[in-house]
Amino acid sequence: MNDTRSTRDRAFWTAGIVVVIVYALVPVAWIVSLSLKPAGEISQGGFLPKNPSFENYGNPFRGDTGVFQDGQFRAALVNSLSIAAIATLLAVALATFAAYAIVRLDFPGKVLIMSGALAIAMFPPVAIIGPLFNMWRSLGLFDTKLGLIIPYMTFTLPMAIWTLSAFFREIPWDLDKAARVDGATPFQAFRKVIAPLAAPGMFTSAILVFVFAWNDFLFATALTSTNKARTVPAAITFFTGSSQFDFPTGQIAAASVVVTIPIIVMILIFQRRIVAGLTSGAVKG
Amino acid sequence: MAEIVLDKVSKRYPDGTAAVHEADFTIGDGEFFILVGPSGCGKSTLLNMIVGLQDITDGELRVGGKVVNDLDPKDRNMAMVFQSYAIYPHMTVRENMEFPLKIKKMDKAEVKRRVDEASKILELDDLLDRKPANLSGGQRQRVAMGRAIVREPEAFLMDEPLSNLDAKLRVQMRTAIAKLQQRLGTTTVYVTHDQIEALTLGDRVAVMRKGFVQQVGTPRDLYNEPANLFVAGFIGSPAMNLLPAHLEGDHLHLPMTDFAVPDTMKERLRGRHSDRLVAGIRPEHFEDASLVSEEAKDHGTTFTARIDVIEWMGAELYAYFTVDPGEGREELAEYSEDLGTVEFANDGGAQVVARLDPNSEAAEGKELVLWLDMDRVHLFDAKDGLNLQNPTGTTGEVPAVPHGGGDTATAGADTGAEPGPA
Repeated sequence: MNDTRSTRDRAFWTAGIVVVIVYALVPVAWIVSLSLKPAGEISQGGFLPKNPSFENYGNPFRGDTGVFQDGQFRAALVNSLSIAAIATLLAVALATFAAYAIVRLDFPGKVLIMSGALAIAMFPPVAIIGPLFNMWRSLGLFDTKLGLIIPYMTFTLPMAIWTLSAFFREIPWDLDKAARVDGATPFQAFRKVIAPLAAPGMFTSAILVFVFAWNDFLFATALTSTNKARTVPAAITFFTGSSQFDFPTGQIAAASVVVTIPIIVMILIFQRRIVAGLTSGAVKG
Repeated sequence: MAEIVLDKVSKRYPDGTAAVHEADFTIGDGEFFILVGPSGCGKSTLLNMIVGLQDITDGELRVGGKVVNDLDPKDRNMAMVFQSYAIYPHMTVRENMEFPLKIKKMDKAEVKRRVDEASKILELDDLLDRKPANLSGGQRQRVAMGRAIVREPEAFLMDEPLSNLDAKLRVQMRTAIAKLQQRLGTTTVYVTHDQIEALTLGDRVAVMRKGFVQQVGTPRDLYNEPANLFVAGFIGSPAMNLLPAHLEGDHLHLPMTDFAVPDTMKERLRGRHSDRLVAGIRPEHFEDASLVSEEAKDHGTTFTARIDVIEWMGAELYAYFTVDPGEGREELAEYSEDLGTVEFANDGGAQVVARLDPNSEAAEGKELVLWLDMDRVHLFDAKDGLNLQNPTGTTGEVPAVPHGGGDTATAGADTGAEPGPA
C-alpha cells in the first residue's frame, strides 16, 4: 500500500520535472539547432540540422558572413560586457554599504528608504523611457555607456539592497563587536569579517544585476543610436541579411547563443559561492 | 593588567530607560570579578561599557588610572569572550587567533609564538587548521578563549561564556577558566546569570538587579551576609527560605513557630525596628531534631512539620514542607516574582526546604520534628528589603554533624564523623 503510493508519487514528480525541463530547454535547443543550420536549410523545417555548420557564427579563417565577422556585433558584445560589468560592480558596492547601514544602524527614515527602494523596483521602466530619452540628450548622456549604466543601477539597486540586507541580518552582530574589541576599526571589521561572510549575498545580487543589464532591451534600444554604446540585444535587431529579401534568421540564432554563454558561465562559476550556511559555526546554532 | 575603577557609571538610553544606575566599585588588578544577576539586570550593559561597545552616559571609567570613557574599543586593549563565542566562521582556528595580532601588525614570529603557546594551553594544537563549523561547542569556546589570551590584554571580559555548553562541559570549562585565570593573573570581569558560577569562580562578586548594584563582596560575604532580600534569595542553591515574620515583644513569630529572640539577635538588629519582617533561613540551618545535640538545642527551637516531598541526594537530604505565610504573603509574592526563586505551593502556603542529615528518618507525608538554628536566622525589613541583622557564625558550619574538626558537638548517637550507614 505504502509502496504503491510512493511509486505513484515518484512517477508524478518525475513526470512533472520532465515537463518543466522540456518546457524550459526546448526553445534553447531549438535556437542552438537553428544557429547550426546553413542558410539554405533554415526554411526546410526539421528540428535537427542535417549538415550542421558554424557558418552563422563565422569562421575567422574564411570570409564568411557569420556574426563574428560583423563589426557591429563585435562592438555590441564589448559594450554589453563592459556596461554590465561596471553596472554590476557599482550596484553591488553601493548596495552593500547601503544594506549594511540599514541593517546595523538605527536612523530615522529607515523604513522609508526600504519601502522607497521597493517602490522603485516596482516602477515600470517603460514609463520613464520618454523623459529619460529627452533628459539624456540634453545632458549629453545619450548614446554613452554611462547613459545605460545609470538606469541599470537604478533599477537593480533596490533588489540588491533587499537581498543584501537579508544576508546582513543573518550575520551575528557579535562578530562585528568581536572584531572591534580585537582591535579593528569599524571599516576593518566590515572589510575583514562582515563582508567575507556576506559574499554569497554579494554574488547573488551581482548575478541579478548582471543578468538584468545583460538582457535589457528597452533601455538599450531607446538610449543608444550607434555602435558606441549599443548592447547585444539591441544590436541583434539591426542584423541585415545578405540581401534585402533574406532575413538573417541563422545569424540571429547564432548571436542569441553567443549572448547566452556568458550568463551561463557566470552562473556556473558563482553558484558554488552562493551556498547557504557559510556562517555556520560562527555562533552556536 | 590593570585595575578597573567604575566611578558612578550609569547608562541611560535616549528613550529615558536606565540600564545601569551609578555602578560604583573597583575591580582589583588580577582579580576575578563576577557580575551576576537575573536577565535584564544590566550586567551585560555594564560589561559592554567597560569594553567600550556601549557609551557611558554618566560617571567615569578608569583603567590603570586612565579615564577611558571615550576611548574606542580597539584602543582599550581588552579581550572579550562572547556568549555566542563570535569566532569568525570564514577563518581557520589559527586565523581566528591571529586576527587580533595581525590587526595590530605584530611581528610574524611573535604572532606564531603567541598562537602556538595559547593553543598549547587550551589544547587546540590539533585543531589549528580546522574551520569553526567543524568544531564542537566546547572547542569553539576554547578558540574564543584562545583569541582572547593571545592578546595578552589588560583585562578579560567574559559575557556568559559557558551558558551555551551542556552541563557536564560547563563544569569542566568552569574549572579550566579558573585555572587559566590563576595562571595568567589577568584581571577578569565575568558576567553570568548563574549564581553557582559566580560563587565558584569569583574572587569577588557584584550582584545586580534592575540596573542597581545590590552588593559587592566575596562569595562568602554574599552567602553569609546578604545586604538585602534580593541577594539573600538569589545567592545559594537551593534558595534561602524567605518567610513573613513579626516581632511581638521579645518573640519572633514565624509561620511555623515562634521563639524568644536571643539577646545577641536583639543587639544585632542594629537599632532598627520594623514590625513587618521577612525571616531568611538557609535550608542547612534546619535539622532533624532527633539528630541534634543537646548543646545545639540551646540556640535553636523545634517545631513539627508535615513533610511533603523528600529529595535524597546521598550526602544530603532535602525535605520540603508547607507553611501558611499568613499576612506577609503579598509582599513575599512580589519578591518571589522578582526572584523567581521563592516558590509558593498551590494551596496558598509557602514551601520551605530544609537540608537534613541523610540519616534522618524523615518520610513523605509523615510529621517530623525539625530543629531551627535561631542564631542563623536573617531578618529583613519587609518594606525596603534591607537586611536588619545578619546571623553570627561561619560558613558551612553544619550544626549537627561535624565535618572534619567541626567545633559543634556531635548529634545523634549513631552518627559518625561522616554520614554513613547507621
